[in-house]
Amino acid sequence: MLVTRGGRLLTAAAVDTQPVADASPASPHVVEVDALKKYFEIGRGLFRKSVSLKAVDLVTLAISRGETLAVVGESGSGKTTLGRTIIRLLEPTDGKLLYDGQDITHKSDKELMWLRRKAQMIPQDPYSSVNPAFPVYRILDEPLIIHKEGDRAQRQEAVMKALQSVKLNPPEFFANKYPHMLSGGQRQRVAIARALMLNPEFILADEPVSMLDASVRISILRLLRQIQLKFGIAFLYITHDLATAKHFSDRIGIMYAGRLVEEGPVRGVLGEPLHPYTQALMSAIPDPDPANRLTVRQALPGEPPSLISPPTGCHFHPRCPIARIGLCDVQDPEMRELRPGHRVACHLAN
Amino acid sequence: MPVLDIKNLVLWYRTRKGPVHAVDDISFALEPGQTIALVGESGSGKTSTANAILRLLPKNVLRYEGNVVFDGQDVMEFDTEEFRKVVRWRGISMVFQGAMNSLNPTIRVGGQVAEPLMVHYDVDRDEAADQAIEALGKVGLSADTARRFPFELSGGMKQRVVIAMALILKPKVVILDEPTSALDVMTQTNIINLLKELKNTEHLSYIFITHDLGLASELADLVGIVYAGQLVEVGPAEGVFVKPKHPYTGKLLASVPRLRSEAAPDFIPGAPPDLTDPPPGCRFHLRCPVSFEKCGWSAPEFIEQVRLLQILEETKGTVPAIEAMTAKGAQNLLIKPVANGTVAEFAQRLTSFIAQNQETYRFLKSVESVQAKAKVVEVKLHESTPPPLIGGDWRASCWLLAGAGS
Amino acid sequence: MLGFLILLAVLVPIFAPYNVVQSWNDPGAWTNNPKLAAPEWSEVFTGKHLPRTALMPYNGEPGGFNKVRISFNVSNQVYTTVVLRSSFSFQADAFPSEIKMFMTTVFGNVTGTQIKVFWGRPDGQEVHIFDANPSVRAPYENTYSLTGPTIKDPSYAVYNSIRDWLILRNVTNETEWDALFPRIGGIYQNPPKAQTMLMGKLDHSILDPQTSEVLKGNYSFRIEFNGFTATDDANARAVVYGTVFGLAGTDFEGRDLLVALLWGAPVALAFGIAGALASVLIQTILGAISGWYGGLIDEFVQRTADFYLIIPTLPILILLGILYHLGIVLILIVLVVFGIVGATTKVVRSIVLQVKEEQFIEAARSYGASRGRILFRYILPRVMPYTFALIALTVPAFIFLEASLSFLGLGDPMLPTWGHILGDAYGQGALFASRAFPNGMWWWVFFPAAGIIFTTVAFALLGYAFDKVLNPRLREQ
Repeated sequence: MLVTRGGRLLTAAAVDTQPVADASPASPHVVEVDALKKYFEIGRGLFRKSVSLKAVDLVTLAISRGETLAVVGESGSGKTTLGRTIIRLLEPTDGKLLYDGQDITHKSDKELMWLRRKAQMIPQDPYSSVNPAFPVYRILDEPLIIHKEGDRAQRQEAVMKALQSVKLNPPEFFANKYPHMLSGGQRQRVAIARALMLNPEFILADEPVSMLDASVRISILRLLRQIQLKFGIAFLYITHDLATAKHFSDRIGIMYAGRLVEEGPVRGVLGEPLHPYTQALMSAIPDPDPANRLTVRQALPGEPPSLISPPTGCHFHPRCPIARIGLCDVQDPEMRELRPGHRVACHLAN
Repeated sequence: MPVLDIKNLVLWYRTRKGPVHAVDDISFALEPGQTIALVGESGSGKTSTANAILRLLPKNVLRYEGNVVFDGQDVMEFDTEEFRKVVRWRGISMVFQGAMNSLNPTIRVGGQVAEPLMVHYDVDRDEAADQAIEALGKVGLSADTARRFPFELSGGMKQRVVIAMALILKPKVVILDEPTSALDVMTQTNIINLLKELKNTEHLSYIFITHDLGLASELADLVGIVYAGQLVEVGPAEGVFVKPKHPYTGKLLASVPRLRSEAAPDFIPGAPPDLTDPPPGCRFHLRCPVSFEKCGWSAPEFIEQVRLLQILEETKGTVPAIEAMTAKGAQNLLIKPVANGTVAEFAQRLTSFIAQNQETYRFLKSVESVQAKAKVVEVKLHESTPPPLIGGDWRASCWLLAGAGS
Repeated sequence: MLGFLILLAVLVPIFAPYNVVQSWNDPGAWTNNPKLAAPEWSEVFTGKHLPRTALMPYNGEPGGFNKVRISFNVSNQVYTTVVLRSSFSFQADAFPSEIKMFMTTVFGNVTGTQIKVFWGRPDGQEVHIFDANPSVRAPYENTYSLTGPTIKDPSYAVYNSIRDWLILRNVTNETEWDALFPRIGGIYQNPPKAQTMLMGKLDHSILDPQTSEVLKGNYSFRIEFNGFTATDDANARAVVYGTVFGLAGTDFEGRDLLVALLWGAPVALAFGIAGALASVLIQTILGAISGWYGGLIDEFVQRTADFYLIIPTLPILILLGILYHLGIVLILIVLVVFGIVGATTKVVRSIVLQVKEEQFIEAARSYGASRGRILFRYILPRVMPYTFALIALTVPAFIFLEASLSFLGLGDPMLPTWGHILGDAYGQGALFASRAFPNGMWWWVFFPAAGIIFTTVAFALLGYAFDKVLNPRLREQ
């Protein structure tokens, strides 16, 4: 039985399995993250104590319904781990994780089956994001089969609809193809279609376009935006590319060494970057401008720190141009709201 | 006098599917101290161009022709040994894509940097070691880096080592193939700054291969846009980045998401063509927003585009009902209408459909005439030839530049 | 190649019924075959026309002995005489390997029942070769070998008869004979070959088997049976054994090796495939579980695999074979038990570990696929192509194992498998050249060995082909 609610197609089953069945959402945020920590224990052999890799170190943020939050960071900043923890592919070490107002921090896999419908992910590598041994219709069928949605005819219809939503037309043509017959961009579209099959409310897009050609990237990102507007899905867009984050998200968070250093509306953060790292990041990225070759671009010395033994106090202080010894190397900076909706974790920003 | 003058370089590979036109008549000239950026999508032939210049050819070469005039001498005429001694690494060296990952993990960094010296010049080990340390110094690495192994270094440091290796024989031209692709933004900036510095201190000319227009603008004096194995536009950075002549360049620039402007990035529909079977006429015409009748639409392409229109949401109702289409040669096709009125009426409907939609669906502009025959309608397309590079120092291969109307 | 083998494997059990195998083990079934005979077509290599076996069946059967029986009564004593005659034409260039006669006789308790055997030659000579008293009554046969060189056969009587006949014909004299064929205590040290004399040209060359020339033409048996009761009767059949037989020759029991060859095929295939399938599949599943679930299960399975890899399979099988009776099914079970974990487990585990890292697996977890589902539906299908290749490559190993065991005599003693034949051949010194067999009994070794090699190569090629198909595809990914 198909039911519509708020313009979105639901199935009868979806209404039943979620523990708190209510008609109106419990909170305006679909995802809330509170002081989240995710540490990995790295064993050092039989006789040495294991060390913690602090991939996510006290992150607090929230994602509202239907909005895209971009989390930007260099490799090794912990952004990928943050994404995986938020959709509970990993269990948080500490802190609280709420989905739709419900605490999912330490629930087991069985108890989280309802989450597996509502939150989906789109992986990064088009070569392994979809099962190469299955034809496209089977890849798309799987989520429905697992959650026992619909009979064969209904599933088939859903598959065709999904293929159309991602502009793989004609859908019948693509449904029977195997992934290796498709281009990278087309494969990512299949991955997106798969994420749409269960009518999710939230999608984690982990660098969905970074391995695609430049020209294909834009079309995929536009597609994601269209899907968001059409279905009201919230996105967590993880990337290292500040420029695409600017054009395809509503809010942006900057991560450095496992911590969130700045967060706020995209135009605000990028228009007025308050954290020295954000400023350095922005000035390091060139737009195509022939004048660039005549000047030397400002860059930060050094490398991002190791997550096993990050610097004390503010993790950024060794590379920070305005760091104050005695303060920045001792005290962890708190997130302060310096502009409306725009938070910064820096002692010296204002 | 240009330090490197490439004229009509051609490199075709033989494959099972047919000949791959990797480099199809590329020409440009590089003055001493100048940098040219070769920009294009992946698979466009930029790396093959570099390989062709340095004669790094695989076994299945079908055609390899052209003139590579280095320092006044056409080195295409050199035999293998001469080329190796004079040109490769010594006159022109290269930083390969992903090079930092192909450093030998079992040999210390200093040894790897010194190797070209010992191989090419029979320099003895101590002298070579000293020169290696000097080269490492030039790229900003301390002397004791020479004793380290690659796995002990960060990505940025490894890339600097690779650059040192490329500089060790003091070449005049360095080809850089995506030198920063696997690096973080900060490290990327540092490396680009290093390259800017070295350009001046070592008097180098660069051939900078990349798909990233922003990065290209960091180093390029001259910009060459590569598409399907051909140079579709080549000219000064001030011109090409600001007001490009070729529609592809325009689209490429529009597709870059800009950090410092609000303009939403555009995208180029379709995909780069298959190099084994490049489209006739202008290779970009299938994706070009301003293509017109001279651009090279062939009958089979036309038919395929019509079929797409028949499925597209926006147009499927308006396309005149067609039963079958066949190509009759490269420039003609026959359309059999669904039996619904006379053939003449169908021809009329077709003509008006074309007139209404040709600005949006550019391929329709290639129609020269629509003639009603006995049971079918014959559609004749304009003749076309590939556009030459039009212009002098700043040239692009597009018929629009030849003064032809739209 | 494989197609042919499979065809064979399917056809043989259909057309050659199982009792062929039973008859393999029944010596009575092979009495009409020459022992250690080479294949018929091998005479091409010798350039000579080699003798086939000539059968003269019992009277009553087509082509059988001619029989005349008279029974009469004189002075209250019954006398029964049976005269049996038969003849055969011999055109070969070499001598037969053996000549045997079989008689079924019916007689009373009276001693004196006697047979007399006469041998007729194309040159008109008739030699009275021996007399004997039948020892068993019908339906059992009395076997008389004219050429068997033991003192128990009538062959000794035959030698003496031949000697007398040759002396009578002035071909030789007693001294020469004794010199050529010395006897110690009545035992011939170097017995003459009766058939070369019975069937050789009557001149001095007849004395040496190397120089004796075959006398071609019609030979005949004449057998007189004299009995003393009214029910006495006799029937005879004779076999002049050739030196070549059939397509694959015979072994030391006269068994047609073609049977063994054909029967070996389905056995080898069935054994090999069943064993390989079972062992590889079990190992694959264990390896996949080990790699996917990780942790303690992984440790456990891997350590067990290490342990198994160290165990020497063949020596243990040999031990078992010596201590217990191993039927072929039992061998199979033992081999599979030894093959529950092994190298395949480790290979599959590493493939699974690789596939585990692929992003669609993670995505599957995010849309709620259970771990079991992911393992069996997503990961195993990626592993299966390798598994097929491994199965194809493991079959030869199993075939070899079975052949080795049978060769050592520890396999199933009933089944005529290739290994078994080879074992017999080895035991009889088939590969050693001797005067009688200047090239050894090559056919005895050649055919089963060829069978094993052919099958092994067929599977190895199949596995190799699988590999070639799979690898490029995986490189694409």
